[in-house]
Amino acid sequence: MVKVTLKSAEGDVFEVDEELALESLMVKNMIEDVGLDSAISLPNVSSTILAKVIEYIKFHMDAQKDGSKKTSEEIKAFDDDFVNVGIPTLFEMVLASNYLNVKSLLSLTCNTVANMIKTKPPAEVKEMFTSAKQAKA
Amino acid sequence: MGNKRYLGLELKRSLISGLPNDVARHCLAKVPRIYHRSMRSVSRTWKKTLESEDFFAVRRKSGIADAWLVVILMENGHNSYCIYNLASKSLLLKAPLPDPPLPTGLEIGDVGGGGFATFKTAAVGALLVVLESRTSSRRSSVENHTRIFDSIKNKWRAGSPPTVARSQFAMATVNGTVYVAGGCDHDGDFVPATESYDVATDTWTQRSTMPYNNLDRVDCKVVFQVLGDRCGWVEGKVWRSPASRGAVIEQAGEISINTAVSRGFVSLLKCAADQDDGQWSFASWDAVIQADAGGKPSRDAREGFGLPFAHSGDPVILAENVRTSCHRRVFMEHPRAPWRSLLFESVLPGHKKIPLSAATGCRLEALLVASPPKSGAGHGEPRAYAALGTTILPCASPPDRCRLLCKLLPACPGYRLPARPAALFTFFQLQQHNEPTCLITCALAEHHHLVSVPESIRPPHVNAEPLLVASHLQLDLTIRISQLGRVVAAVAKGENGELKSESGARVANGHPQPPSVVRPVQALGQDGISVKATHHARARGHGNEAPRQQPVCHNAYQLLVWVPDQHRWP
Repeated sequence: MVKVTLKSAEGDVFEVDEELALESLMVKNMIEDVGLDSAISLPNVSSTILAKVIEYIKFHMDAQKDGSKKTSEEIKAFDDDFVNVGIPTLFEMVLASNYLNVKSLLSLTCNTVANMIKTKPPAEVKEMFTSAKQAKA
Repeated sequence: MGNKRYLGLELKRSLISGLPNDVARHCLAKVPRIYHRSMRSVSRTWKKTLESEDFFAVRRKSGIADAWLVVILMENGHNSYCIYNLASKSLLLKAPLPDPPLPTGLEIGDVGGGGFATFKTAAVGALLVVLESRTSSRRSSVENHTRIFDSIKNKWRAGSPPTVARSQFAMATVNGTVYVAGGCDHDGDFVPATESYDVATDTWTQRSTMPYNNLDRVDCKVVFQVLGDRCGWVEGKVWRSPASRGAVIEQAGEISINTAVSRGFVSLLKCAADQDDGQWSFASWDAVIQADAGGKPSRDAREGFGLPFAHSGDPVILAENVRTSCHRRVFMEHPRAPWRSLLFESVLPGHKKIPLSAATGCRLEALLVASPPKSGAGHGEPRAYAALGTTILPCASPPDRCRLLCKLLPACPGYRLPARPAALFTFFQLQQHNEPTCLITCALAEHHHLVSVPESIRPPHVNAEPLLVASHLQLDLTIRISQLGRVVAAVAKGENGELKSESGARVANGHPQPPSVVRPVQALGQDGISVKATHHARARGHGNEAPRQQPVCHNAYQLLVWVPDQHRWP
């Protein structure tokens, strides 16, 4: 199996299957442009987040395989758990999935943000999402 | 990171601090519309975003569709409007309409002193255009007023009036443009001018004139029918003397032969009723529609698409197919679909002719017409129904409406008779940036009985029973209608572009079909569904042609759905 090397912002190197890497349209385009010889540098994605994104894609790829025994409940549970993080991490994942162009993850993370917005009163939403404090946190 | 001041500025402007605005907008767009009201109060930036066109473009792109239902009510002389969210089945808002009040009826409202007022509605994008006309008491003038409801901002505003004043006109939206045609001037003369209205620029444009200016002043009432991306119209008066090169009615003894000649154009429709077996046969000179004795269209019925006609005994609803320059003009904007004009007329013995106002919807139109057996109870009562979604609405001229309701729904529990002639409903589908939103305009009198509006969306004060609750085991007229309603409801599931025949199949498979009632709806197309219900005054065996039709009871219905994409009747 062909491997693709991804390099995070910190310079950490992640070696993943090409199939997995192609889930990111951004990486896919990069591979098409520059080939597989050199590592693909992702300066906007930290190691922690990149690891999470890879974990997410891997899980869903496995779940979609024919022999997969994962139920939709299990997938849902994984997703719920996956986005059950603090807002700063969530935002980083939003940004990373946007940057890497992973549609399903972007949709999942944005939906999470949207759910937070709709379940909270406006004042709380304001506090959470528009205050400077939050941005620094 | 820049200096503090810069940081502050940036934070002030960003929708969600920590996310770029395009991504933040994407997040906000995922929030259902019912939360937008509270989201607006988060900050001015949020408010501005939520009310922007861009934002709805994002929502559209994301495929997020909230169906809204707007109901305009008349209560105690005051208008109010209710907005329902169809997804959450909740009432979002009920608020009074800005003055002046709209006329009391969709068709005719009394402004006192012998004058009258009418209004029509059309939906364009997220906007609802309400065009009203007021004819002064001495018929000295007609005034038109345009009102626009912006469903994004939840605000009403005035628009410019059309250049030609008219009342009782037809109005419809075709591809984002509002068309107004027909109607009459202050003298009651027919107005042949056609105009279109661009809501974005608030401008009216003259279109080609309807080719009726040399006719008598009879054709005043015109109702547009929108069917998919097609547009047609219904005239109040169809039948005319041979001299007026309109339609002709011939009566020869016991057998009526109704021939509709469409304005000297190619279409010709002929119906004959055989009194002996109560069947009607249809034939046409240019294959408008050809039906065998069972009312079943033949293969040639393709030409008859968009002709939701129905017939029963003496009352006959006809659809005619008119190709006129006026309509071609409109048609030019719909290269996919052949132009069709729709025309209905109900002629009842001993009754004045009753124009039908039918439901219009972007993707669905159904006209269900029922009439009692000739010699049965309720003789001569018009029973005309237009259906949209899960709703079947009665339509006929006042003062027949109430009786219409009463007679038709005796077995509906919880149903009470309106004290006064009351209800006339027009249905539109509001296309909100491709987010289909249903719009119902209702004009109701003192007692509101929306018999046909589903429970989830009916106005709070309406005490009515949805038609669908009726037991399928009842073999009376009500159940037939409800059966039809169920089938039609299935058709209406296509609001988001995915038409399914689930409910239709359920009617067919899930329930033991009452004898000779409803045929399954199947293979519905993407758009432009035409549902046709035919009603036989005395259902007898149809012979070999229609063996499924059981000669058991009166009031048998046959529901036929035309599938435009496949050009066939299933």
